[in-house]
Amino acid sequence: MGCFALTGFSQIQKLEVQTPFSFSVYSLNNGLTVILSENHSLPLVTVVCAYKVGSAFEQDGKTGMALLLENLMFLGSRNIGPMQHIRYIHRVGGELNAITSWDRTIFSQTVPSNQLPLVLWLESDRMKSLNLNYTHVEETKTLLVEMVKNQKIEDPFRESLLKFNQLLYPEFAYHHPLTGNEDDLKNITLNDVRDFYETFYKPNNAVLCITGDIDEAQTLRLVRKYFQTINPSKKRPPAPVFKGGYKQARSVEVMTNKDVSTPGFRLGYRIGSSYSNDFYILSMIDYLLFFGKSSRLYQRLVARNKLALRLNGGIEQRIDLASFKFFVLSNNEATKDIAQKALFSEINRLKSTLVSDRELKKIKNMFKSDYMGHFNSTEKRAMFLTRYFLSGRDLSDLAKELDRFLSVSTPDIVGIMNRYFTDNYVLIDIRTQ
Amino acid sequence: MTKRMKRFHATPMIFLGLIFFFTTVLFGFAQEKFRKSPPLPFPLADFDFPKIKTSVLSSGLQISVVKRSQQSFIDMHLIVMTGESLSPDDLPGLASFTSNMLFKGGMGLSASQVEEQIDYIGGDFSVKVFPDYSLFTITYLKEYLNDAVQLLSNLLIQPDFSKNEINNVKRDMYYKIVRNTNPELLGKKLLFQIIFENHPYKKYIFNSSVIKDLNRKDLVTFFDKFYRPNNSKLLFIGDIDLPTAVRITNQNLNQWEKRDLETYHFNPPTPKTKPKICFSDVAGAEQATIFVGNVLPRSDLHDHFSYLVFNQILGGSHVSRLFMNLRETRGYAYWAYSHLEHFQDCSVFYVKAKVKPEYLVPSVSEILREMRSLSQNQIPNHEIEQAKSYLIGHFPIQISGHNEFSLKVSEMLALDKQGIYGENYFENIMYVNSRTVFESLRKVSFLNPVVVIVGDKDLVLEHITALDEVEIFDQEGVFQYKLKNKRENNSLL
Repeated sequence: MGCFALTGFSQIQKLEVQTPFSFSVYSLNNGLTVILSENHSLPLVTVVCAYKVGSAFEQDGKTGMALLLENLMFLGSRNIGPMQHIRYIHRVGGELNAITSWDRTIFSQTVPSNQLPLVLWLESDRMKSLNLNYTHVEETKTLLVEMVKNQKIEDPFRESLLKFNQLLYPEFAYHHPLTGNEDDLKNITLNDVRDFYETFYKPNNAVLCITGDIDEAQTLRLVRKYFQTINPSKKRPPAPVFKGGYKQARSVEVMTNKDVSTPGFRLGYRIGSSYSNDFYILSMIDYLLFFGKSSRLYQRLVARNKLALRLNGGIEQRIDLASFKFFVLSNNEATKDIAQKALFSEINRLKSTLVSDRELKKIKNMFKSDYMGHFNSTEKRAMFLTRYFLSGRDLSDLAKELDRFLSVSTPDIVGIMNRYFTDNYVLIDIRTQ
Repeated sequence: MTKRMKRFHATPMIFLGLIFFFTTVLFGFAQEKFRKSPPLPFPLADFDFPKIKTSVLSSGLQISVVKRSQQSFIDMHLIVMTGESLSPDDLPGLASFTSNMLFKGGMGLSASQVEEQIDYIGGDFSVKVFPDYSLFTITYLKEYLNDAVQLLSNLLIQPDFSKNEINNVKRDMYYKIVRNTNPELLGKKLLFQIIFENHPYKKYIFNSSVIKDLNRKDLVTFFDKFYRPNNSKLLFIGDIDLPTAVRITNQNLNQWEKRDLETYHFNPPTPKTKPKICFSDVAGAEQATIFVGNVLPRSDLHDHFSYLVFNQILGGSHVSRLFMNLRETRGYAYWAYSHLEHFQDCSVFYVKAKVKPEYLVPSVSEILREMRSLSQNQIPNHEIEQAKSYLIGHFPIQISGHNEFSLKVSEMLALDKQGIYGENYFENIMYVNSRTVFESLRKVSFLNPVVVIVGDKDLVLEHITALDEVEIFDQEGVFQYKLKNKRENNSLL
């Protein structure tokens, strides 16, 4: 690790990390974290500006606020008109995206590298002076309410998912829908939105990641120019409240739904958080069960016995907890019951029998391939670094991360299966009417 | 008020003004000057399209390599230069059937063992069939290069084609067709079926009725005839050089025998000269999906880049005319774009839009008006320059993902059109101006497009039949009947 000084930055680290690429991490005086990674293979640059806020940070009665703010971030700031952010990016041939999840809101844009100043100008303006007014808030609320109504119509399994999340995550922060509840959305006021923006959408709660065809020193000068005079939020952004731990009481429910044409079930286990060492082993279990045409569940439920019409699931990460979910749809009640038994039998097999060396090597190769795929474009690299940083893990540990996944052993898998895949699961049986 | 009194009051006013000035500067009520307008860009960076190196083996197999040193995996594409257009006339779908069978076992390996081997090398595979060629892609960790080529060799030299897998593939193909209710896919299929009418490219679009006729005998004959090294190209993209690719391929594929190939020639498809409206019903579709398109004859590079700029102005992005007009200005559409697709002997140009059913007719009318306006008048220079700027800026983004890049390179090799994406891309775009676009567009007709509409008939049909004759098709593209127009003098076309 080497250090050098640059005006405007309070703490400067240059991490020499043995990943397939190098990157540097800086921190501005106002608390903004800046991650830079040079890659000159194409004349492109990706700028990701992410805030540590998502639906988990919403208050009861004000759900939908994070998604509402994500939309409002495109409706103009002091020097940029409504939707102009999108048009500026598109005019230069760029692409952009915005994602809100439980614990983060991410804005990304990829443009020709000569347009880096444009993106920094756009991002800094909405971080410094978002134009929040009554009309924009009301119009966006109406749009989101419409979206919630459409989701109810279009996704017949939404209701079972909401119920499932309530049982799996008794904590309010994580079980309410990302899109918010219809009544909550209607009740949100302009002052609520301003307060949320002033609390969370500020440099001390954000990370700016820039990857691609950049010159590091020049980029730092630009970042300083556009971001260093943005004031941090006056109050410390609050964290969501959790009960903590992975222990979960068993819960089995039956839901009958007239809108679904195929029966199915949802099964879930609370597991160790993504910070724990167990997470590396749980990720390998995810690959054993779900990844590839030769995965255990695909072979057992789909390819060989044709028990499932649809099969998906895997690990779902929240801030300091995670869950392992399964969702199966079958042709009829009889095949659904057989599919459920087959699924439990696969879980039990992993609890009692060692995985073969070849199968373990196979899933590690698949994992490695996917993991390395996270760096193969400027955008993916920026998203990878941003997500890693937001997960709370230390970026200097990144070099060791892949090895930790790849050092999982067959006894590790049996041990973890027995720790987390107990009888304390949540099961929702979805029946057609 | 006396002068003395005035002076007395002026002093605090100046004082207050100074306080206000310093307050605004110090506490941020005034902003930095640079925030008021967008910054100037840096100079445009150079861009070199990655080099493709090629060698031809004695078997006739063409090996191409694009070296990407930082990539930990290799994309390997086998391009068999036979696509759906060479399926027998009475058996469209045979090329797709054959390609779908390739990964279903060989040299003693069952289909599930093949899948396991691909997973084992950290891999993934896909199969795509086009009218002119078939594309097989295996992506794998670079340390398994030899294993991957050996696996491909097993499948090519001694394919299994077991009865069980034939039934599985036929069933999958059947359900994929009959369960497809996606209005976008159905609309595009119907458009291509109509514009390629009477041409072998039409076989690219086949319906579920042909599946029952697909059999092992025809499959083996088709495979034997066309899956030959002298009818194929093998492309490697990743941390590999050409000598290594040639050596590994020679070691593993030396038993893949070349054979004399019949040459097939058919005339290029010609653009439709009579406009028509077609409709396909998808019950429950809340929006109407519109396709408007036609064949573009084979073009030289200058015309190609003119079409590209034209397409960008019309509907290439969120800032193009169609999107701005139909969505932003009029509120008719959820989205509206235009596209160019390339084939060996032609290109296809089409517009697609998703609109509210009540705005179907004005939407089609606006699409046609925009197309005609752009093709009949010289486009203003500023629009041309804006489109060129977008295309130059966007091209590196288009190839930034390894999948996208791989597909572009394999398309270039398969269609032998290195010029359309290759190293002079920026220069070719820069060459385009208002006059060249106008001249290129004069060579093609935008006045006789085929209009395809997909939607719920209860929501959509009354709007169309009020204007024109409509040909009704089922979801598999089978013609059903014609609806005659009610007001003959009010034709949409």
